[in-house]
Amino acid sequence: MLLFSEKTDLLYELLSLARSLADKNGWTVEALTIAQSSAESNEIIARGADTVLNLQSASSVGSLQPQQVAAVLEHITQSDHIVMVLLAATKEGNEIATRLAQKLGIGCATGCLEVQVQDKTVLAWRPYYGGKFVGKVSTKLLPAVITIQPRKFNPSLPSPDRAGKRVTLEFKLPPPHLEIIRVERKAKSAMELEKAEIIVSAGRGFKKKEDLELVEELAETLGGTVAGTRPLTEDMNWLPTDSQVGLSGKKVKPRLYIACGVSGQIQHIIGMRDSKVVVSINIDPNASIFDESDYYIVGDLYKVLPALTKVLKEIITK
Amino acid sequence: MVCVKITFDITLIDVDEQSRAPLLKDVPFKISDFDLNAVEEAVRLKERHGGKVTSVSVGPVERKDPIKRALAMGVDEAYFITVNETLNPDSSQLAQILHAFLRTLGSYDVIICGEGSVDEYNSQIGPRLSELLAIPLIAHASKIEISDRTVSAQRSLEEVKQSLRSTLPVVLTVGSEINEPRFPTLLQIMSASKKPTSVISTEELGVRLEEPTFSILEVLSPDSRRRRIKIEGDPKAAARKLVANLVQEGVLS
Repeated sequence: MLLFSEKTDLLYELLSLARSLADKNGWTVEALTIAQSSAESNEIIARGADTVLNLQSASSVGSLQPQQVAAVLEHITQSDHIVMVLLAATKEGNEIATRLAQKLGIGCATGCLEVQVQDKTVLAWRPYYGGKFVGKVSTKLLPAVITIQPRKFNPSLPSPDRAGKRVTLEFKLPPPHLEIIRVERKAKSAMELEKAEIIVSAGRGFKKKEDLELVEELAETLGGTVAGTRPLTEDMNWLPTDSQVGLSGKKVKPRLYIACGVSGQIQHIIGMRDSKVVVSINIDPNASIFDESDYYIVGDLYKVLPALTKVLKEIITK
Repeated sequence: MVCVKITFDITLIDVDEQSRAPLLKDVPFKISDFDLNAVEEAVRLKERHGGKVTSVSVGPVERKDPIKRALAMGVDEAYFITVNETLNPDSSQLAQILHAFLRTLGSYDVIICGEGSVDEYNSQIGPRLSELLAIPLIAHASKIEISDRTVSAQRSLEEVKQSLRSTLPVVLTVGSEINEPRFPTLLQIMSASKKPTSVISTEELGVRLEEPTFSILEVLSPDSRRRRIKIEGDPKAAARKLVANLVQEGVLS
């Protein structure tokens, strides 16, 4: 098997899936890294890789373009007789995987939730119809090219006595297609959403940006983090992009998720479905978010949220 | 050229309570959400720079009708490539069909696709066309400008925002943040029916489809584990009841 992710924490998640598949099927696990130190490679070996292929490159991992990474993966896939390639289902990860599959003339399963191997066939599960359904798909070990949704697997834990090989890979990268003019790191939310224990999220039920204060106040009282649906983060720009929960945003699993004025479009549900307890507040008695909630209140969030914040403040001061 | 997928209106898909399978029989078809953004962006580029917008769709022939909306929005000419209904081409085969179509179309400067389709969200057509045509791809573009045969674009990845440039021809994929698709006027809707729509089969394009390497075996709705407990009362009473429940659950720290 061959693994790659431009993000180390996601590579560790891929390693935990890869290790269990490899052990069951008698495969070995190779991980591609770009211009990495030997200490970093050793960590990847300790977490489950049999071989770390470190590409010698003047560019760091973040500055290589998907089309260049796909070329390296194609080279390794062919020279090492790889049966399965796993990447993380980030925007770039999906592009790299799809390009690799196209180079090899085969299908590709993007955004998968689970992978199994049965009799030389790969079964994978991925969302359909906006996440309202889950489809079982099959692909062949030609190799199988698959991307895995972030945070579906726990990162593999290091065992320092694991043995593995560090190999230096020399490969002439194709010239980049795009000219990158400027890269700006996004302002990180005060706390990473994926790690938040309590999330208060806002949807289209809010009439204007200033009203999000109600959500912020509730989140602050609870020690939680604010999130939003795609219309709020992308179309209206009322909240930063990295606070988007949903199909094209973050997949979260907090212990408490409070959806305020969220209609419950399936694209949003897919991002919060793994939450432990879900609460929703919506004025529309038929809002579909209620089907995905443990507790719900049919009511005006402009009245319910201040009341909720007030009650919570009372218990905290007690 | 703009790639337009026509698929089910996913908001209208119900679940069969027995089998948990989707009930697709009477679900109407429409243009996939992000493909409307792709059409809108293509029409805006035409309005600024001239040229012509051609749309291409692939699917069973009975899904053809909704393409009228793209024509009403400003697409000049639509092509609908029909595939046998028993075949469910995977992304690799769809890209193969689109590639064959592009060869018959001749020249093009910009190919725009939605960043993923609302039904399957494979997100593969853009990258695959880029590979097949050996031209650059700017995926997830949120702003596009063209001058002197150079495309300048912005996009947002998970952790960074990028400004980038590419030569033409180029493949672009777009999502909902790039624009607000226009609502055509009645006049535009009426004149759309006079615009040319050509139906071609994959055979006429000379594409022979083999067994796909990726296939969907079954699609089922997961059981929702949620308890759906309604909290009643005026805002103050409801807030108290809710908090009492959450305290009991132990989810408040």
